[in-house]
Amino acid sequence: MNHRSGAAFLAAVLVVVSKLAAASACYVAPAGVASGSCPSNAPCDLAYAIAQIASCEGTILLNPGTYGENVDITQDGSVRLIGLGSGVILQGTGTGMCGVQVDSTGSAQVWLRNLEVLGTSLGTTPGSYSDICINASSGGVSMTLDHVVVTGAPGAGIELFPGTDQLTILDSAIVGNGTSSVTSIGGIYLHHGANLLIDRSLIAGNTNNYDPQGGGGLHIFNTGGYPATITNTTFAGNQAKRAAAISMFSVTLTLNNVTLAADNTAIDGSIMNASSSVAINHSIIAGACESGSSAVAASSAGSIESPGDTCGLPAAAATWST
Amino acid sequence: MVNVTLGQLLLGALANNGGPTQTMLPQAGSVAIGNGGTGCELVDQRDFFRGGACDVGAAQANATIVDEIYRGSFEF
Repeated sequence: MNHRSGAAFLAAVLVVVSKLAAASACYVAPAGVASGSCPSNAPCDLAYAIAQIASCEGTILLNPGTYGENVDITQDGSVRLIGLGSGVILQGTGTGMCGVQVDSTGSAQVWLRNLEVLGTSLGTTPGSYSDICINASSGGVSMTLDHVVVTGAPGAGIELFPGTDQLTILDSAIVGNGTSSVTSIGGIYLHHGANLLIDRSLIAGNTNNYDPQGGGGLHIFNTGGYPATITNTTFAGNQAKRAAAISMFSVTLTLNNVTLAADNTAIDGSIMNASSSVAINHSIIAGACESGSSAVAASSAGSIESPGDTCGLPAAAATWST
Repeated sequence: MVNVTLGQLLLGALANNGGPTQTMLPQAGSVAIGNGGTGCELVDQRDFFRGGACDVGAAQANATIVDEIYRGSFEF
């Protein structure tokens, strides 16, 4: 990920940091200590700060470096992990859990910003082979990734079990996940669905070798009636047994200004459930749609399919002059 | 548009074209340029303003770079 460079982004980070510091946010460092109140001049270790999150006003500021511990969030309420500058890497071992895991029992709002979640130290066992997991028991969890890189997981970059209400991905890259030759499940794998918003992001180079329904970039098995909206996002070079970019079951999906590009890119819309529907607006489908025209909303407009005509794009778009 | 050949689509390779994530910019002569119609997103994947005629896809070939300082002051 080529991080937004220049003074502006740094200035913005400093602004938010200054505001949060005033509210007694906790500072952590890879060599931090497991005691005290975690001020900037005596940073704590990450696990200690998370356990003390209530006294951190819900905010942990991470100094640059690699954090080798798993991040296990069991608390309710707001939990914000914010990287200070570049080079903040969460590289958990995944022993018994994912690298970053949310196990809250009630309502929790988790926000990750300006950091990388690296899965190269994880194992290949389901339940602990993904970079980020939400496994909330009673729902009400929301997670926002903002300027985050999620990469290198043997299983999935992000894996959501029931209990997640909202997943928002902004200005982030979900790249190079699903590295296990046996149990890979791609970039983003939703077991139950969630309100999903992806904006200004990159989903690339992920592999789903495990699921016969595919979805190398994004797989949504939606039993909760949640909608999904993807805008200004590129899917490229993802791989799966079918539907390399997106595979979904019972989803209302809207694509606005999206680029799906790969030799075998496809959208799997209605193969598993005809109630899925896709509105494809101002988007490029460089590949094919396995679902056919029944899954594409009549309002879809201003889009391109290349090289064929399998997505059922409506006449208004299909007749545009080339 | 359907049955568009790769030669007509002319998408650039995934690359750093500015912004926080890599994009695939339509190259000169691409049918994606200016054919997005109405109702496009105001900015593209890079958070650059699309400006006039909207391109199809995530990245706008002739986008306007947003003043980072100006945008940053409204981000939080």
